[in-house]
Amino acid sequence: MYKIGSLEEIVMLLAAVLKDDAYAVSIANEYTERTKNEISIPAIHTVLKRLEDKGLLKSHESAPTKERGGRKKRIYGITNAGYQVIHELRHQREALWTLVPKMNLE
Amino acid sequence: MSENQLPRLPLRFLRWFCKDELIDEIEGDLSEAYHQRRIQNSAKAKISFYKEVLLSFNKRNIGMMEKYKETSLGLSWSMLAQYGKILVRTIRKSKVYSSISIVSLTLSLTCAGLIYLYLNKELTYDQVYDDADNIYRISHLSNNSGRSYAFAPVGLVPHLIETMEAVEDGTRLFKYRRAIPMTLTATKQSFNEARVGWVDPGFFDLFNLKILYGSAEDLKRPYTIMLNESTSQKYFAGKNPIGQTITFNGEYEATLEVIGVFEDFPSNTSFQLDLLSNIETCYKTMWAGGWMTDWQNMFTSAYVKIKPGKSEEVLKVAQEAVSNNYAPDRPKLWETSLQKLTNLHLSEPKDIGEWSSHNDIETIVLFSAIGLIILSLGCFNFINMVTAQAGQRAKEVGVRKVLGSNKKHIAQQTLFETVSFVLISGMLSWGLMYALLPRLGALTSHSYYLNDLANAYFVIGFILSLIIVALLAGAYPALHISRINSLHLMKKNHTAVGGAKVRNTLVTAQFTITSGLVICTLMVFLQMKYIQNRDLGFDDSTIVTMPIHNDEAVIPKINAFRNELLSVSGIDNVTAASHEMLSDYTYITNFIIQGFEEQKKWERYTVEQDYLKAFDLEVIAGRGFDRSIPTDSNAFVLNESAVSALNLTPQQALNLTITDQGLNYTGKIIGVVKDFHFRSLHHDIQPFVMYVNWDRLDYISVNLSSNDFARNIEHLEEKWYQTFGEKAPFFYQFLDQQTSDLYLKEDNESLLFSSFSLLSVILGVLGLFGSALFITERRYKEIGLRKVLGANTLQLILMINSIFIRMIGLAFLIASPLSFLLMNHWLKEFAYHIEQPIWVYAATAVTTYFIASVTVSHISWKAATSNPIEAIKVE
Repeated sequence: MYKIGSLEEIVMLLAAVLKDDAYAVSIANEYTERTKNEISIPAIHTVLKRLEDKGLLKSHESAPTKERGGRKKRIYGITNAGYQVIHELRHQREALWTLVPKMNLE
Repeated sequence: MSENQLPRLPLRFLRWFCKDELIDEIEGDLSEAYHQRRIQNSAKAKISFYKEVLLSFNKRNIGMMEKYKETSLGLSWSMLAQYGKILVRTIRKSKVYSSISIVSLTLSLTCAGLIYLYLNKELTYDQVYDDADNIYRISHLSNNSGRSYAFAPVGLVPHLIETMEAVEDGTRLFKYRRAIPMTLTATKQSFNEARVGWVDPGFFDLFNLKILYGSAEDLKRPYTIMLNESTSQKYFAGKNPIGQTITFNGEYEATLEVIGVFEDFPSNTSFQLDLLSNIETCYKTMWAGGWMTDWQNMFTSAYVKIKPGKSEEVLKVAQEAVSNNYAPDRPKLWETSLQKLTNLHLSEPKDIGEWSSHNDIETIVLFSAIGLIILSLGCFNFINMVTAQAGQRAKEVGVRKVLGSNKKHIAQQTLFETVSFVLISGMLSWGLMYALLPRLGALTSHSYYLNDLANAYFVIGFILSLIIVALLAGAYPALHISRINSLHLMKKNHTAVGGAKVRNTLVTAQFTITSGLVICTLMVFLQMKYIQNRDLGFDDSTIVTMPIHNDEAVIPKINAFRNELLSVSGIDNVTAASHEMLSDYTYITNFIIQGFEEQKKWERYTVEQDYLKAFDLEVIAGRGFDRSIPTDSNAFVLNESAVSALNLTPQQALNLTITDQGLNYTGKIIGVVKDFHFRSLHHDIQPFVMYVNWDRLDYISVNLSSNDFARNIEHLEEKWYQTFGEKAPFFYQFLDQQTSDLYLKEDNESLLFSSFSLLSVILGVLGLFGSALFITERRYKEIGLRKVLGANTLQLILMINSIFIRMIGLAFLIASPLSFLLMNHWLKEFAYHIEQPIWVYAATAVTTYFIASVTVSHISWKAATSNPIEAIKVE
């Protein structure tokens, strides 16, 4: 079982959400939109590479585009192992939530 | 949107450092993000881009080292082997170009290297001692004669050491201006040693040479002596000599005990002394002295080691001590000064009484300039040949490119060849330098050892200069050729490889330097000839001088000696004087002349009556001294310059009364002689006085008339010992030998200049030859066509030659005014010098023209007479 940080978890989730359009720039944009926090592209790169090294993400190149100055994109997708990791995390959290007593607002 | 809008600097940085496999993703993402952000705020987007590039500069992404490893230096062995193979083929194919480049570079590197070695010795003069920077010499400027003396009263150094804390140590040093004859007690061998110094034991604290045997402390005892290593080797064959005794003969008669051996003074130090003895022994017991106090005895130099920053203080105390003690009634007589030891050789003028060698900054600058010039001449040739060769290979490069070599490979291979050439030349020249070390030593009077060539500084410097040469010569062809479009290279007759302008400029520059050096060499040579053949006013080739070593034993018997000698046929005149003719050691004294209020500071010799006759000096008024006239025992003779300094005609000067204030000696002027050179030709003829005084005779001079000099010398020796006995050893020197010693420095300079200009001529010719060959080869086809169309051989030769003749003409026009100025400056150093003759310039022009046209014609003739069909056939 891998230990992953919360940024890594979010990036993996975003990669799963964005599917075929999951690359550093789109992930960063989505991150900013959802969390209202700024993040730099190199930070996303670092996380993506680390997750790929762990085998939780896989990647392939896609066609170059004009706004990228003719550079190819690298599209990331979640692996089965990766899916299991975030799935496991979700279960853990939900289990924990069931244990939280209903808040008494009084 | 184009990438032009991206900030260039960070983008280039990113592309430089980033791993190849990551650049697509990173650059793509960063630029996409940049363009998105730009829509909102372009300045902010820019800042973010900078920031993100810097953030990307992390371990994961950096890959320029690998890139470097893989491409630029990615020379696998197989590639190297292939490059090597091509190198061998290139050399074989173009033997002429290859050998011109290697020979030129080797010669110029060797020459520049040797000059560097020499300059290094000169610039580190006297710096071998640990505290060299804190050592000073105390000198005195005489307000009487206006000359500076390298002397200080013998009492001064002990006084300063005793009273001043700032003076750490000091020594006095006395060196007699003549050689001292000596005998080893053990073996009875005799030697005549000129390099004897009399010093305090503190000498070795200042000048910390290694002591090989014994201890400098023992030098405190009177009648002790230390030898340097080579003298000890000479006397005692390397055995420990402590306890041996040496007897000094002549004036310095004494028996001294050997108490130690010190290492030889390095060649770049002021004191080249072989024997060191205790100075108190010398001045207390041996000097005629007794009549002088410690403060009036001013015939020794003084050296002190002063704590940093305290020299002003010491100078004040020293000046005060000298003023109070030397002649209290004339406190302003001497002006004391401190001269830094390390400045003596190059920056300070030579003082009176100083015997160590001097050089000047100008010579150093001149030599550095020549070294650089020669080096650049060699490099010009090298660059010329490498680029020419590269041009020849344009086709080869084209084929390589078509077959898949990339820019880097071509550049690499071209550079590899250049580097190999430089390396070969480097190794050859190192060997050549090593072989020439003894020759250099003889020319520059320094000793050079293998270590001078093998120490870290030299080796690193040498390798660095090789790298610079390789880059200079290699960069142009490597970059230029690798960039040219391959089709272009193959299609055209490689005229695309330009550089004709560069090459022409280099050839012109070379010939400018060459003709300049030739002019200078001729001038130097003429000046030296002029000096050596100049009429001194007497004939120096027939005069033999003998130093008188034991005044008491010799002077009373001079008359007897003269009579003995005059009976020998072939010996014309025998005379004696206080000084040796032409030596730089002269004596200035004050004269009072009847009718003139002002005292005159003039040089003087005291002589015997026959002096004028022996030297055949021409009397222009009055008469010379005459032994048969009794009053001539205090008669004076002046030279022409002295008379004109008084604004008198020679006739008017006769019979005036004149007094030498120094010796308080008065007499009448009986004659005036024509000016003659009593000092070297570096100096003007100054007013000069001679008078008869038998008390002060230091040299006997003999005028020989027959040509059988060897037999005459035998006679001299025989009669000498018959008259004076063994106590006064016999030594002699021909005066013309003395004269040529005076110009040794200039002679060596002249020799060096000739070698330099010969070298530059060789380099120039090599360069010209190469360039001519290159141009004719390039225009081979054109020549063929012209021939077919009716041009004759002569026309073709003239066509090619004219290109070079123009360049050489231009070179001469630049070179001649420059050399004129330079030589004018140099000639001014001599009081008597030639006016620069025009024919030197004409001769240089004609010679360079001749050499150049022979060189070029050889090639153009070959091209012009070849079968035109061959030329046109060439594809």
